Amino acid sequence: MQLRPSVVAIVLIAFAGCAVVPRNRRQYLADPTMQPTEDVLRDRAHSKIHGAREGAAGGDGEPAGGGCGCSN
Amino acid sequence: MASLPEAAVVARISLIILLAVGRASAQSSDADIIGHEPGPHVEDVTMRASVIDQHGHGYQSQDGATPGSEAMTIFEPAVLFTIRQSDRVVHEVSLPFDFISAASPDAVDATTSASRRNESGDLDIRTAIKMSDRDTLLTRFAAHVEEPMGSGTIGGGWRRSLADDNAAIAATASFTFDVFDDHDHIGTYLGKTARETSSLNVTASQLLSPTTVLDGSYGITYQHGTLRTGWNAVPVPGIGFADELLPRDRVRNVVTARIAQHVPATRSTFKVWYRAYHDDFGITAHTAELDAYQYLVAWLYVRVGYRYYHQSGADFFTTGLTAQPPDGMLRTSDSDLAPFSANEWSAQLAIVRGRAPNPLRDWSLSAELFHYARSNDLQITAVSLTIGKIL
Repeated sequence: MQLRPSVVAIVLIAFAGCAVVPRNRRQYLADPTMQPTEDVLRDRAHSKIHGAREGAAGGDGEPAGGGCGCSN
Repeated sequence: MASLPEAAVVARISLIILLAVGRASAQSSDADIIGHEPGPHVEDVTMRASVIDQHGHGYQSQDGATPGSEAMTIFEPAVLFTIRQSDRVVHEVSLPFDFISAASPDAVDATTSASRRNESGDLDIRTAIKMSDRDTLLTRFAAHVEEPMGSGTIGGGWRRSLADDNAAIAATASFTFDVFDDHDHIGTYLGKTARETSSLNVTASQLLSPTTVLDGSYGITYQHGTLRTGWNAVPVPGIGFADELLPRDRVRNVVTARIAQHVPATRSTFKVWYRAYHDDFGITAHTAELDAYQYLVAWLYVRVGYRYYHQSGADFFTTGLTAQPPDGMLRTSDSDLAPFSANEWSAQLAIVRGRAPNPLRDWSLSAELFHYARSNDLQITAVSLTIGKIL
């Protein structure tokens, strides 16, 4: 799989063009719904379901499948 | 007006008082002023219980006709403790369990009850150690136990915040070692076998506005050892079954990107997530996910999520062998490695801890309905309840 130059360019432009957000303007960013993992147990349970039933587990800091194949 | 001698006496007394106060202040410790550190304590406990109901068929199952039934029911309780050791060190300890009935009934049930009824448990300890205002050290220890296997994971990482926390970068690595019983497709025990999994992951996040966050990651995983599931059967029509045979090495690559946007005017949040995956089994997969959150009141929100997943099959996936395969020929009929698409819906109602009126103020509560449907005949419905409390 090759990363397309256009995708890399879009990501770089997005990062380069962002404004600095002062601490006193981050109340919305601190909202629970804005957190990457606002429900840890739910995210892990979903990840477990996907990891045991899809061929594309792993690579994102979590175990890449595993188990005997009979766990969920 | 005081006379000169009286003024001198007042001045001496004032000086004595000031010196006494100053001496008392000098003897006060930091702890007297800012309070004592409470020591290690549990800050938060969260419990989740799910009932998962699965229906469908797959060639790896030998329950009934070919493909066999993959029907099973799982009860899945889990508990998560957040333990603060000090103002710099926080541990997150989770204990998920699975109680599974009739998981992928297959030939191994002739010799064990591994898939007829199985229990599994995990212990996962993740620690964040704040080294400075900008740097955090991450560690992870995990163990997994179920009837035919045991597994251990160690990991570590480092996270740095940049530009007054407007951006963060992190790198993590982990190593997992699995030991499990090996069987052939008719259930013959072949002894213990093992596999190792090493992962490296880098992530970056950036605030784009007071309501927008962007993050992305790249991960690579290398696996070596027995990657096949020994008792998985590959059908050979008219003849019977053959053993599954997979390569002994696998390299997986993953790129992800996510954007989260809050809309203050409507008290809504939207998250869009994309994941691209490729491995040297020949599987390429794309995942797109959208989550929409809507506050009904300041402490109660509803979340609706949709996820689409598509994968190409492994290069050696087959269900059409016409004769017993020659030695060394890679093959699998595991439906998890077939080409398929999956659609997933979930809906959740949640109370945010710390915001609800008393007596719910310190509690979090949520209920979730989850449905997952794969295009190659597998459906899952799950109901979950979560309850948490700040201690």
